[in-house]
Amino acid sequence: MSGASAEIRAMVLRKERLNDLLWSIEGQLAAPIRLEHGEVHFAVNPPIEQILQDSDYVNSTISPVALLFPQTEILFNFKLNGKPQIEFPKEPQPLTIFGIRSCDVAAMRYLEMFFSRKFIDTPFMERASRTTLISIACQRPGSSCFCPCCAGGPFLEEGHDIQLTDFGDIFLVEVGSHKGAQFADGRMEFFEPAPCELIERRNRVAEETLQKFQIASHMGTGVRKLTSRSVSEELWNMMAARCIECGGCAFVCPLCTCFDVVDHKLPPDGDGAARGWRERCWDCCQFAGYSIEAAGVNPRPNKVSRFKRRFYHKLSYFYMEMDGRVGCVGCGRCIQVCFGVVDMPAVVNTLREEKLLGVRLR
Amino acid sequence: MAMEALQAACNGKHLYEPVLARIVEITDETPDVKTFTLELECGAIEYRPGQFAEVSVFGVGEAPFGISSSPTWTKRTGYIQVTVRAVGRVTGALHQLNVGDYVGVRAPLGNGFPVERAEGKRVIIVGGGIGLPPLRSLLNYMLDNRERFGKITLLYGARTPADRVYKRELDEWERRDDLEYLDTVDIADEEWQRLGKRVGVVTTLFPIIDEQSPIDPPNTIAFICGPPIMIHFVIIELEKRNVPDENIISTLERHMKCGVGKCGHCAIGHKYVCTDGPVFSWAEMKELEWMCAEPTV
Amino acid sequence: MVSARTTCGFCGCGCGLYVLSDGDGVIGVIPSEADVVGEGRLCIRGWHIYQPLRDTDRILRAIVSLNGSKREADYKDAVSRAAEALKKFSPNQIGIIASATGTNEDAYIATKFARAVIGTNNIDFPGRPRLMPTLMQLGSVDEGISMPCTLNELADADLLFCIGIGASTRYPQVTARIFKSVVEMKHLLLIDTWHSDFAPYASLHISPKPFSDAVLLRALAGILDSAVKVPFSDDEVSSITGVSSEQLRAMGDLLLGGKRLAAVYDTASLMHMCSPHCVRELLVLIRALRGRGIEWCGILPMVERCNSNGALRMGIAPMLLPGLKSITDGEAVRRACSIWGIDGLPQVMGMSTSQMLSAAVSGDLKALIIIGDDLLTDVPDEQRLRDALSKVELLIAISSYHSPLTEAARFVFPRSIWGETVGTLVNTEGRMRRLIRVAEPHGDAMQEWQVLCDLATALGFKMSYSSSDEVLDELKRFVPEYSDIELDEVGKGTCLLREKPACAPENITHEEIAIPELPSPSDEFPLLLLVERYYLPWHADTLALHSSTLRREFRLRFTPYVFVNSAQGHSFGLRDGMPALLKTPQGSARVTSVFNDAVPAGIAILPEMFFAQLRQAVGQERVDELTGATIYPVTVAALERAR
Repeated sequence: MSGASAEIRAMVLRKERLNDLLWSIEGQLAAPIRLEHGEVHFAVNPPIEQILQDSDYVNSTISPVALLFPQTEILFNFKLNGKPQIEFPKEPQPLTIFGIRSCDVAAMRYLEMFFSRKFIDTPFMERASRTTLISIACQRPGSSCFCPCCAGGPFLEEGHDIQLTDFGDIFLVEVGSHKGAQFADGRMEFFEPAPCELIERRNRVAEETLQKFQIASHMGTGVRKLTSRSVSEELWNMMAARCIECGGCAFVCPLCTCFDVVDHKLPPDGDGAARGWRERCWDCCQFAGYSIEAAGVNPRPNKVSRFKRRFYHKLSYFYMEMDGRVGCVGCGRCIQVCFGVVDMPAVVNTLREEKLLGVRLR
Repeated sequence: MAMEALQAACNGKHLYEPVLARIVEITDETPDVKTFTLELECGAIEYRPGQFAEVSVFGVGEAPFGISSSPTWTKRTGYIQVTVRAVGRVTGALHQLNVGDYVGVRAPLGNGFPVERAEGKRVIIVGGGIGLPPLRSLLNYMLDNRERFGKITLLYGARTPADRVYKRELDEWERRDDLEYLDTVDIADEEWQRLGKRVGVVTTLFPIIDEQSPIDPPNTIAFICGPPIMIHFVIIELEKRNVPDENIISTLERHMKCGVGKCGHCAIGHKYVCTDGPVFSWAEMKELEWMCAEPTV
Repeated sequence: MVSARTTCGFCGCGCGLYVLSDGDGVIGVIPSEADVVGEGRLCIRGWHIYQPLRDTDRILRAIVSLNGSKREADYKDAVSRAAEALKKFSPNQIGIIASATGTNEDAYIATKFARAVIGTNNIDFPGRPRLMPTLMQLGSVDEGISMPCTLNELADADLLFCIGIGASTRYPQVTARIFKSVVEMKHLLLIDTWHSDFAPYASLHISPKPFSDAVLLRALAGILDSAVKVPFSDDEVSSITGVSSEQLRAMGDLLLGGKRLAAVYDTASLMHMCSPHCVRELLVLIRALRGRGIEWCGILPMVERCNSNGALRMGIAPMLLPGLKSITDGEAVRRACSIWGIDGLPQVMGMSTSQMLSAAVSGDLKALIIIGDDLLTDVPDEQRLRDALSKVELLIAISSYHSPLTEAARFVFPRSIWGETVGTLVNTEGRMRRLIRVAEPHGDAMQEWQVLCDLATALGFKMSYSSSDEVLDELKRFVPEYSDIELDEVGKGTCLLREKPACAPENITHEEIAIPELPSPSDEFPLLLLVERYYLPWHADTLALHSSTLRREFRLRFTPYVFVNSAQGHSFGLRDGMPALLKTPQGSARVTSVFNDAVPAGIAILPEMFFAQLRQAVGQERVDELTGATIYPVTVAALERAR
């Protein structure tokens, strides 16, 4: 994790200074606001008065990691007239994400590892290198949250840049990385030293919060059952029958990274040059066309093979060993989008109980 | 995550930036297969046999092809070659291009064949149809470094005589005395029959080498490339002759898009064919099949 | 940047979503969790509906074909030339084939254009016949039966009765409610030829013989209510439907076990609820259940396109005026005259889509205005379309994409697509939905109401509205039942249309129940070959082909194929995806055999999309007089390996 060696520091930020702190941020600020009908969304440079307070929201519909890995982004533009000319989008501005939740911070650390493993994914890492996360630890988990089961929160002990804990009229500010330290060092006038008892209170609140979760997902059992291949084909078939291959779980999952690459070309202009661009957009391993080869062969020809693929990626021990974490941070977003109640906790629970909800004995 | 990686992301070359390459020659191999000779704008590149290139037709898309020229040839000429069968949108568009047109290239990608492991060993190369290009790279590399390898056998099977690629080179290889060359087709034409050449699937060539030059299992390494069904049966033949699993080397075919282990399309279990492969030993493939509970070939 | 909430434009569900943009244009969507329809879920189509807005393959300018050459033209010039050309024809020589993918405002103006400007009732949309069986019964729905009911009423029911709903991907928001219910261990009674993904979760799955739903439903009603006359013996019922008396009783017991019953059917399934008899029999059954202590009953007919319901309600039908009023309804005609400022409306029944295409071939129809490209997927017979279109003297197409329709047209006007249009839709529940503009139209593209207004004005009938809201205002004056529609309510998703249709089932007598006549399979031809509408798991229009991801999913097969289950396929020596020879008593044809274990043994299914190409072998279709729907032949068939 970036700057893990940074000195761990704790401070206090009075809430009345928060707006000034947000105003002091250079570059872009992303923060949670409500959309027209009340959904939470991380907007870029929203009016500061619209930014949600910790107690006002659980989390956003789409993870803020989408600010760094958006549903569609242009990789480069080109102009074709004789020799092709390639032009890259301009470098991203520095970005500070305020109010990001612990699960999404954990996801961001995974994505940084993934996008820089072996090859460095330029578009993502250019943004990541300029991004600072100011997360707010969760004291009011939502009804579909299960981050404690997947090392995704509700309080972070590592991986955060700056972690805030809401104590009514003050925030406890914890610095967890070089970037966090850089952010804080430049703004010492906003902070006060944190009294020792506040740290103790934070630890107590973190403990108490664990009691507030309404669901659990026994990831360890899921990993063991799946890796040891002790799940019956029948059970996989029944689970896959409830998947409609909408792609929603992958699109809202902050750990899912699959993308497709597509070229677009406009008709030639007056000067005879055709312009176009290459873009990438989110893709999903549940789609039938996802793994189809040019010659038409599909190594995962049926829904159950694609369904298994998703959960092998998320839960196989071999992935876990390589990625350093299970493929889930417990944000619960897949529960909201799933048409067939075969989201992550539902599947893990099925693997564990070897029984699927909704199946009747006939 | 290492700070260096973050830094490198900002200063290095864009991961998805293709190098411009001019088409200097187009060779028709079969009615739907062409070999493109490309001059890269960045100059000659170094690569290993079995590595691949992502070739772009701007405005249409990008597709992966095994590099069919050998590194030794590239060193001499400065060019690289890819052999393309027109099956999809990108390959179709490539076939429409002419000498002098530009494409984009990202190469070399993938792991390539473990040629060092073949040094001093008896080498058996088995190709099927359009699976020959990466093996041609390997074979020409070995022939250019002939002294480092033991006896080399090439077995080539195609559906019909017309489907055979690199026909001129095949004739040259057949004439060489430092290479054992055997070929066959599934369906012969008149010319083929007149010449009395072999008919049958590629595995029917194994009994012939059993007679001509029997395999010494621990000291033999085999390289296979072709359609999955062919790979499957060739592996069975090699297993029958006790060639160790780690000496059976094959390439896996998957839908590779980004070529750099990010887009996810080519993953088998936790391996990415584009970065962990496309070359795998049978030992690795078997382990992978167990790990991900899905077949590799 | 996030747009205001808008509605997905693919299927009849109409899910709420927001569109995300950056400096380069639209880049993604956000499902709306607060939306009463979508509840934060989107299917593969919804997640990709922004992609056509990034696509570059579009008709950008008006195209005029003059002296054999086609060229781009100035929009205004093209409008006045098209108007001049239209003037040559009498009203009954002109027809309009409109689209179920436009907004209500588009549809209303199309109706007005046909009736008031041209003076014809020759206006229709190609998907309309599929809605007729439902529409014909809607007028006679009793108090106390909710039809259409809402998706959330479906979720609240404790017993789901699904008839011919096919693949779980077709109407995803219905699927979500069904699966939620089965997880809560509520009962699902499934009547479906397909062994779909719902089947393993059904308390009882009945796969009746094709086209026997009406008989089955009547027999079931007879079990529940002795007053219902069943004109068949028990043995006749089981031989017609293939359902045993025990199964029938089990169905009856299951239906009586619920307190709140919701029935769902797919209006587009050719094997199930396609005839007016079936929908009528469903109502007979529901009435019988009402007498047996069921507290609440709802029926949800599912419609394919995003605005099939709206197009119908706005009067895109030869016999309807806006508000589902009849063209002979004196009150509605008077209001039309006063609002539209005309002396009278055409009283002669207009032509349906199918009749217009035939009249084009015979020369009775000389000018055709085609809006959108519903024809391509709803009349999937390219040769028939080409024949008809090449015969008309004047073809005007308002279209977004190049197609055989625009190829044949003398005038083409570029049509805006989802995301560029503004207005309202009516979804499968009869719920008004709002469409927001999230991107500027490409080129000169505009909505059809704008083009039609300009054409009308050029024809000397001044029509001009400043916005689609102004069109809606006029519509509200036209239909008293719509007068309290508020855009704000529409945006919130709380505006449900529940008007009573004028269209009564005059032509169906209560006693009549059609008995399907099916040929008998033999050793030589062991399969029953049925034409079904499913071509892919999703029904979708050409818009989907302009999304890179959806296009990839579609690319699978464009050559004719038939579905058989894998065991049956193997018995013919076939493999999945293999070329095969389809043999019938009439002839043979090359097809691809696609294995699908949702197909029961003894049946092969030919997607409607490919029927025309295989007509020689399958037989001649006919048009149902009552609904205008195409009735496909059923034949016995065999498959063998193609050489």
